[in-house]
Amino acid sequence: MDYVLTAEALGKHYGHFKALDGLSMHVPKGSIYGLVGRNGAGKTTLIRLVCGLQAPTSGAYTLYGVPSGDRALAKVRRRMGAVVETPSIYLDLTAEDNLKEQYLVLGRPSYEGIPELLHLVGLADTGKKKARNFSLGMKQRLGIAIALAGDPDLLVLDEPVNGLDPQGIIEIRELILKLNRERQITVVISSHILDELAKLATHYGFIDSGRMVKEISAQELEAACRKCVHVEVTDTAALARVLDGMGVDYKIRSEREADVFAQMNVSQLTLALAKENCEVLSMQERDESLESYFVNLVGGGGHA
Amino acid sequence: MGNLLAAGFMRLWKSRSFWVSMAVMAGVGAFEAAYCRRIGRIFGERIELDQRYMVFALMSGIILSAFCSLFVGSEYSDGGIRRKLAAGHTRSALYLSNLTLCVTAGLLICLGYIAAYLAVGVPLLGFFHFALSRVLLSTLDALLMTAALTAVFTMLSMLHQNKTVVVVTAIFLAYFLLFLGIFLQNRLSEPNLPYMGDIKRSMYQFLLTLPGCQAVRLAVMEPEWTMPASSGGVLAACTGLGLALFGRKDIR
Repeated sequence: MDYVLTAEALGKHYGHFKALDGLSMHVPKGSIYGLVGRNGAGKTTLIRLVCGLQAPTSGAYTLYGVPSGDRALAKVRRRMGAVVETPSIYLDLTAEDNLKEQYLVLGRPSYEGIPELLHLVGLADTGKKKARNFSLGMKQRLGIAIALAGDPDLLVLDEPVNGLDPQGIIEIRELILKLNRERQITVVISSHILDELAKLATHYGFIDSGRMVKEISAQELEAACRKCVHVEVTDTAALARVLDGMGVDYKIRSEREADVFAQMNVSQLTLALAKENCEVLSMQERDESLESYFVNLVGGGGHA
Repeated sequence: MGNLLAAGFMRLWKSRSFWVSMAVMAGVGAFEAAYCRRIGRIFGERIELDQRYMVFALMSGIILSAFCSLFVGSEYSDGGIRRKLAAGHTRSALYLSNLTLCVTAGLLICLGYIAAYLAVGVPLLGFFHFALSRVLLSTLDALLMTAALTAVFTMLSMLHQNKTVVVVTAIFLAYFLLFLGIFLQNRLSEPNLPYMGDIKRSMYQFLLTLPGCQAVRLAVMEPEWTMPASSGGVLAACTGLGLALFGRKDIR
């Protein structure tokens, strides 16, 4: 698999505090990679390191195969666009002037692509309105437009829907999906809003206490979170025989508990188990979400 | 760095704080010249063009302390530094481009005063009474001092992310240097100077050459060779220190 961004044993310490503690990460090309973690888990620190705002204390990351510390990394960064925490926009400039400024920073030969970019993010009609007077959603979209000014292959977004109203959240989601599908831009996105992330991400990285707890694709997560019927019986061996006979997928959890991954005829199952001298003690339908998966993975007591 | 300068000059051209600073300096320049003419008429004296020409040296530090901290400070508050670093520019290029922009703006702001003062002053007061070489030397010293002060304010602004703290610190520093200069000049002008210890006097004389302090001498067109040396030294030291510290700074 081609990876756009990888990190191995990445560490960042502020005095005695370890913001990142041996973190490893692998972002596949073309993916929408969701970074999930509590406040202070290290998501923003990771993004700051990747964007070159801070240097790692230990370990390394690679961007398009170029390791951190290599002089060529600065050149490779031009293939990346980023919105770190708040959108980077000059408040006393218009949307168009902000983009012109970024075009000059990037050394682009002309301002040709600016109208298209403004149209893409829905800011084509802002005219001479200063960014200071934009709504939060407009600022966020302008921040993304600026990040897109260099036609990047990789877009890094830190909490892009923070503080947005429902309409703003939908607009940003649709924009990210459009960029990923139509322009094949790989997107790394951190968000507290797990339900929202679940609508976008093709891959997830769960971070806790500066470490990557688990990396998983959306398909794997879906399989792990798929609907099941949790069954409590007196004899799971008998249950296994019956389910095998029915050709149903299941997982034995303990001597008395199992998860069955199918919609079943309860009477039929109960009768079949009775023939095996096995009683059904309880049955519950379960539907694990990204949120519950996250809580199971890193434990409760914090905020994602 | 060329790209950063091109982008920076575009922002400077559209910067309200730059044009306000320029307007204030030009306005003061025109006012000073007109005021000299009025005072001369009231008291029936001839006031030379030289008299208020160098007032910009006293003002530039204060005006630029506010301008630099606001202009560079918004690089942090608006996220400009983040987006330039993320776009692959080096920290040294970023620092030097901001320094170049602020020095250029500082010189333009001083030239705004000079142009307005001469435009109003020459028709009203006539030409310089002092030798032109003295006027030019004083002007160049004052411009170099302005560049050195700009380097100090740029360093402060690039090393601290809190714009408000930087604005307050820079303005306080500009006033402190100016009042220190006035105090030192007064002490050195006292009639009992011969009784001041050699070390103390040398110390006072050295401090008076510091950018900001030396404005007091330049205001009366008394340039000394130590002044450009001091300004050049401060400019180089602040730039070197600023580059070294900014290179290691964790940016949020």
